[in-house]
Amino acid sequence: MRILKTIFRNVGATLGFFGVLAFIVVGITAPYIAPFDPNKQNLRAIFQPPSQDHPFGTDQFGRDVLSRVLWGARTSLIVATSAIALAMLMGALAGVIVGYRGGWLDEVVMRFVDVLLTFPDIFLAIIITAVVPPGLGTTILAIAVYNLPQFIRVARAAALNVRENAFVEAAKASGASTSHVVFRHILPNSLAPIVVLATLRTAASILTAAGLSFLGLGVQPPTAEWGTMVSEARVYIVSAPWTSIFPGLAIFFTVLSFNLLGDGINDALNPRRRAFRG
Amino acid sequence: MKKFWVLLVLFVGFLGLAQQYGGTVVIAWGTDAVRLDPADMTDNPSETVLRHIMDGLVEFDEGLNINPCLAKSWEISEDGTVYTFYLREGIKFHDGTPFNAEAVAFNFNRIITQNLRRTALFQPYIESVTAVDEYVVVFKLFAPFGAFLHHLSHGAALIQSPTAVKTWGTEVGKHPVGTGPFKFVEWVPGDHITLEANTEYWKGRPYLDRIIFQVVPEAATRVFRIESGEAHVATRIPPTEVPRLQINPNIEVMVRQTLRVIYIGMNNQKPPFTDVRVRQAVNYAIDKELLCQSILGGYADPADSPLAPLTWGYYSTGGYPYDPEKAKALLAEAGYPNGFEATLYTPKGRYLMDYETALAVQAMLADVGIKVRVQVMEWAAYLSMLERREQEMFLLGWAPSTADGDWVLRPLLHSANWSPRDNNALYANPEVDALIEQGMRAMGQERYELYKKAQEIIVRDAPWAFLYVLKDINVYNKKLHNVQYLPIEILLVKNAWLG
Amino acid sequence: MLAFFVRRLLMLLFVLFSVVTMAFFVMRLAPGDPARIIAGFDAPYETILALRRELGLDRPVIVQYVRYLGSLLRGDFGRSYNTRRPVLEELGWRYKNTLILAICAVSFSTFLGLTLGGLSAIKPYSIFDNFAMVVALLGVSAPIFWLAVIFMWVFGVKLRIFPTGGTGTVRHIVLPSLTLGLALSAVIARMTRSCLLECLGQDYVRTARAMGFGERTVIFRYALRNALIPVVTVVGLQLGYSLAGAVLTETVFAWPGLGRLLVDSIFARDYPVVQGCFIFVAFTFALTNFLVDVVYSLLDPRIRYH
Repeated sequence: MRILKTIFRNVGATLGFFGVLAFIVVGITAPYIAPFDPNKQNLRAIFQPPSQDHPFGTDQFGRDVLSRVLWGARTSLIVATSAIALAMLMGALAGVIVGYRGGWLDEVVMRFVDVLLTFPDIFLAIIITAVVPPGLGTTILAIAVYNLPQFIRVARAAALNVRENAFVEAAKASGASTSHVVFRHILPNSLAPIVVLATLRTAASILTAAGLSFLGLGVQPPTAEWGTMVSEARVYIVSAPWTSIFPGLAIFFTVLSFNLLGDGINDALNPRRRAFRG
Repeated sequence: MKKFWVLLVLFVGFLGLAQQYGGTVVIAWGTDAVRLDPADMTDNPSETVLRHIMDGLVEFDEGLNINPCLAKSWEISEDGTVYTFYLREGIKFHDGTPFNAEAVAFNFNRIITQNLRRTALFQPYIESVTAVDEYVVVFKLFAPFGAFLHHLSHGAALIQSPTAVKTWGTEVGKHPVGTGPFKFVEWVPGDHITLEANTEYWKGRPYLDRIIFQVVPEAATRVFRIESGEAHVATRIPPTEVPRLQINPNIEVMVRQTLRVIYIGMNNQKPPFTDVRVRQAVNYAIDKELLCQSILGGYADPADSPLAPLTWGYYSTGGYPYDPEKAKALLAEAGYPNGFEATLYTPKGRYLMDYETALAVQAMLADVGIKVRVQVMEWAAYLSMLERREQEMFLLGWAPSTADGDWVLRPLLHSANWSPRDNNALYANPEVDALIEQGMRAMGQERYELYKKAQEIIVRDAPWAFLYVLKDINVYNKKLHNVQYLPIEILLVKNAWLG
Repeated sequence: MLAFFVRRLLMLLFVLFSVVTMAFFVMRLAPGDPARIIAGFDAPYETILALRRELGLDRPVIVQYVRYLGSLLRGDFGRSYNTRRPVLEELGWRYKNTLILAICAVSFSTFLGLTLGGLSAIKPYSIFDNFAMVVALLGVSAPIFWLAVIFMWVFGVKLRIFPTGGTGTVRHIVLPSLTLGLALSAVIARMTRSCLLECLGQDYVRTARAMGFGERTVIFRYALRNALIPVVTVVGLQLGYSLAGAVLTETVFAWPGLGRLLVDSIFARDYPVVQGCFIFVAFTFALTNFLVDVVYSLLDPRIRYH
């Protein structure tokens, strides 16, 4: 609650909060609020400019762009949240454990992380989609793997910090088991930076998914996905700009909202601001 | 007075149209050349560049007729196995090496004795190539081969300087030397290739001073390049951009028929596609006319044969009209009154609007009850999938690089060529096999009749859903005149000039 | 200090070895046959079989791996399957291009980031601060290829200020580095802001203020200098990322760089080129990290490595 209060004191973070909320709501309710079936083609009404019937116009198959943007929120929501949840779960666990245990395990995992981090940005995802046939699951997996090392790093750093605290010493002294210490003390107290990272990485993941689609390796058609929509429509930017501008804006505002919110949470948790990205 | 005006108009018009020497032309295209060695390249950009640098014994004109080039005439023996070419005299390669029968023999002996990427285009047919005189060369074939002159018009039969081949060895693909109107200057991989006029060209010096082929992978960027005036020619333009370019007073839109037939193959050995009625039903269920008009923006014509109209041997069978009711009836007759499920594999971005077509076909087939799952595959994975014979339905395109029907029917529809060769539909009809084999040995009208019969049977058997024949859209600045286009998807500016 | 360097160098070698191994095996796990792609779609099957033999692809993978490692140790990166040119020749020129693009983009983003971050730190929590931070966020929030296409259309086609792509003159580099740099500037801006704020709260700054130095002197002489240290780290890391992460920008602007070559080679299953690209990218990346550490330790004498 205290966090929410701090967030609402910041205009940007407030906007971000509502942006993210809107995104989630649209993602969940897309089937009910979309005016058309997002995959219904009408080859006799392709590239219609925005009108009363089709506020965002129609695309190269005569499909309603508005409906596809709304359904696209659902896809982006699924991809980004499951990928990040997966990375967060595995990364936080691994990071906290190696941070707490230290020793050779720490060394091995961190070297592995170093190697993973040498595959910058989109490359790791490209490699994965080259091996596993592309699809929703593959996209999620690729983005999760790419984010994994960052979560391990942050979680490990947080755990190292927490480990030095008196209450952990106290718990250890009172004879608590390792798993007890990790799950009851280290993990909950390392959570804050992990949550901030998760929010910021969700934003980046939506962009990574779009980038994958741009290279033809993203979510499978005809599923409505913003990244795919922008990249398929990019050739029509001049002749039918609405086909790429609206999904582009949707990505833009969603990512912006997540970034603003992530910053807000970061400020609220940690007023002196440590940047986690880089 | 009237006469004066007429003369004035003619004079001004003449000034505008007169061929002028000089200038550099920039061509923006999507992919870089791979190897500038005719015998060892298979990609379209390499062939395009080479056709500006080198000449062949014979050459295609824009209508794909075969004309003399380095050979001024030829004779074919009665039994069709000996071709004698009489060469033009006094021609020199760019490096000064004289062009003669020895040079021709050297080129073809290299291709048939070595293992190069185009070896298989000649090795199975040519027994020997001999220089019998300074300017007379004789090709002896193993058996008569009706499409032989088409093979000699292919880019792989361009003649390069024997000296260059000997000097550069395996590196000759970076140092092309021919007899053609343009000389090779430089190649910066991934960026551009520059050619300059061969002022000594045997047909007279070309008008342009220089040609620069520039790599611009994104279609949208190529369009911008031509609009901003940075490029004179832009290739492979998306149909949606054409209306905008057409109203631009500086830009000429060139739309030409190609030989590329886009089809959806069906696995003829896998149920339900083993039943000819199912395959016919798929053909009836697809509205080819609508596909061409909407998805392709009018830049394709419905196909009614595995051959394109401009391919030698094409016969118009009438094809399958759009008739969903008949499709449903055929499906019911075959025992699938409620349709069935299948997977349609498609590449994306390989052919103009390929995956978009697959999606539209998916919707059309759904109307007759066939539930198709569209699976996009990256090209490399796609080819392996076909090789493993995992396909049910697959979208592909084929254009014979020799412009001859033999190079469609034999690789794609002869039963000896099942996957991993190119008969990916696993189609087999002994009658068709026999017609194809006879066609190889026949000549002229006789050959045409055999191909006509084969096409009738194939269309009736419907191993594929025949979709459409693609057109190619290229645009150029109106200052550029006499841009030529070969329907084998080769754009030529070797005879062009800047006004 | 020496031990630190040795340790880092060993680390670099280990990373390179892992990257080579990973790239080698992952590529071979991917479906697709290089010979088929190279031969061309309408090539007869005999050509494909012959090519497979010629490229040594018919040998067991482990044999191929050992051979590759052996030739790598001799400094031989092999030849591209596709163009048959030596991999180093294929890479060299593109590497230079990507390096140029990365340096320009990072310079631009550093300039923009420092300006935005510095200005907002002077008046924290003001409207300007919020505005500057939002501007910085816009850059990271927009899909880069979308931005690229729009820039191209506005500056290249409508206004005709800059060429829409390609290489050659200084003007060619403007739009690609602007696009790429915009995405990078946000991180730098935010880092600058927070570090400056932190430094402005430090004792020595307060002392300087108390001693009656002007605000400008305080910021530039004292605060900024110290705030720059972590910023340098970020700039260095950005350089590494943009080197490799420029695929999308390179594609849209037809910039013949390493990223574009890598993606094309993956699609074409040109294994030697893919492996070469990975080695180059990993090496540069590890090297920048290494250099950043060195610079960091030089700038801030308080940091000593164990």
